[in-house]
Amino acid sequence: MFYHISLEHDILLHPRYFGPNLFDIVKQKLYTEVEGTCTGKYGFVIAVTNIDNVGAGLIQPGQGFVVYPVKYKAIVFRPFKGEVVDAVVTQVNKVGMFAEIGPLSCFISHHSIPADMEHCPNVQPACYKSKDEDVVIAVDDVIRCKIVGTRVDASGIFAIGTLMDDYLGLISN
Amino acid sequence: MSEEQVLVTEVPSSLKQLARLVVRGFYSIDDTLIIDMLVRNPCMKEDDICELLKFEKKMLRARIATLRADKFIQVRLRMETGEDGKAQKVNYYFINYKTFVNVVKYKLDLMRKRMETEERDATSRASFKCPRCSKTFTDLEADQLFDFITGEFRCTYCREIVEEDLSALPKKDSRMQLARFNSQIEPLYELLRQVEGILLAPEILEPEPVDINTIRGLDKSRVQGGARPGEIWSGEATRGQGFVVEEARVDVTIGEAETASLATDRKEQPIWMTESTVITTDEHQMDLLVGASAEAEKTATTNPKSNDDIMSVLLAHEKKGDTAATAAAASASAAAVKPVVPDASDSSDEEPIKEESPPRLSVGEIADSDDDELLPVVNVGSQSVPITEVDDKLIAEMTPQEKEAYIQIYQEYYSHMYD
Repeated sequence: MFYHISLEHDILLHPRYFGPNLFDIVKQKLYTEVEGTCTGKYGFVIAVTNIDNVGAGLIQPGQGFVVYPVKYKAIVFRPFKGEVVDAVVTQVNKVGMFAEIGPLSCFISHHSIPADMEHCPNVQPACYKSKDEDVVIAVDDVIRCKIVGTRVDASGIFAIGTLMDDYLGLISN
Repeated sequence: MSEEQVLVTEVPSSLKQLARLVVRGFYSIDDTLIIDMLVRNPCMKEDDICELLKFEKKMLRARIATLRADKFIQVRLRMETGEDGKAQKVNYYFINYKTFVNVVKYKLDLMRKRMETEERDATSRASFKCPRCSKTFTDLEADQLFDFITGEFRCTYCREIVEEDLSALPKKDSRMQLARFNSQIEPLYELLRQVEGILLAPEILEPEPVDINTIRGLDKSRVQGGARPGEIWSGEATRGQGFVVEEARVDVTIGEAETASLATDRKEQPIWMTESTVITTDEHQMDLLVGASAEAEKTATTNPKSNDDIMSVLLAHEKKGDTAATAAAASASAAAVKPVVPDASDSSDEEPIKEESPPRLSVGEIADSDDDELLPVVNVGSQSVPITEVDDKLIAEMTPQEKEAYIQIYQEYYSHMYD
């Protein structure tokens, strides 16, 4: 799920950037440091939309570095259990398939793939195929899945999904 | 809110339904029966339940212990004087609906929580296992195991290829379990919502014992507690009265007065029982009686003549008795009762005789023609009349000579018969 929320971040700036473009540099540094990161609480920060306030810099004693507390608004993507999302298949194997929901990678176990779909390792590319060959899920196909669990690390979030529910599976073009 | 503050003095049917549904859904049939009994009769003695349900006491106690442990029913101990005059402890059981609802809510919540836990466990159940170091991994760690270059799942510790742990396969429908639970328990939730906010009066929560006779429906003097003002009639007061199994009896009385009169009518005696059909000095009445049979009627008109001569009648009787007994009796039987007795002076002794004669005579004309072929004829005035046709009227018309001749012929005729 996407949120537009206010966040805070401290920018540590080297004294060499002190000068007339200081605030531009602070903004630039914020973008690079924040966008694309992931926190367990807020999920993936997709994009900073607005910088509300750059606070007064605090010179770090003995270093000369300055810390700027920045308040900004950003769009974040936070996956939740039970959420239905569209994903792109990245890998298919006999134990299941991997898919990407934007920055979030997701594993769909073959227990969570409808029983009538079978793994076909000998077909190129490897895929999951329904018995009547009506539905074929291979790498790069877009599927709709439901998140049944997430694992949140300090560095990121990992999800497991299922195709066993109504309206889930391959999204035909 | 103020409405809800009103104490309900009668167990709402939704509460009762809830109690019944819950035991039916989650308990054995024995428990169901016990709860049913207590729903009908708020507070019952242990012995009474035994008696009505035909349970063994031991078994009942076991069931009740279960229900008590689950706080579905509660017990009240009372000291009573038994039949032997000794004080004994008697257990009275009842349902405290307030507690009951809380218990149900609690248990449902517990079930739901357990199911959620199970579902979560299924998600995080170890589905991969390293054969070398026996380290297990869940689906959530699949990204750590997966080697994108080789496309294999490798142990994060020893780099051995992990295997699927088939023993940890999730149950088929574990994901659907909660949804199914919700849909199946929906009726209970619905009832719980209905009873939400109902405040029960203390006497409902702690009901007074009900006598078994009341339950059996033997004691009709049960306090019905007439409808209080503002109380909506719910049918509770008249519901489930009497539990004892009696022989089904249907008494239909339609128009009681009518049946009564009918009975007396039936007992009224017929006229032939109340009045003698034999004797009579009353000719008119006699005629009425005679009218009963066509045969008799005939004789009534044809016999008068014979009647005025007692002797002839007697003779006829004699003859019948002696000679024509069988034939005459048979034919006469049809007209068994008939005589016309114009003579008021006749004594009752003679009556049977008189009665017998006419039929015989009449029969003689009609049936016994063999011995009557030569019917003597009597002359009356200008006309000739067969002797059997002579009646009173004709006799009255006779001249003395004719009458004398008639008597003579008559005697001859009957003397002939007599032979």
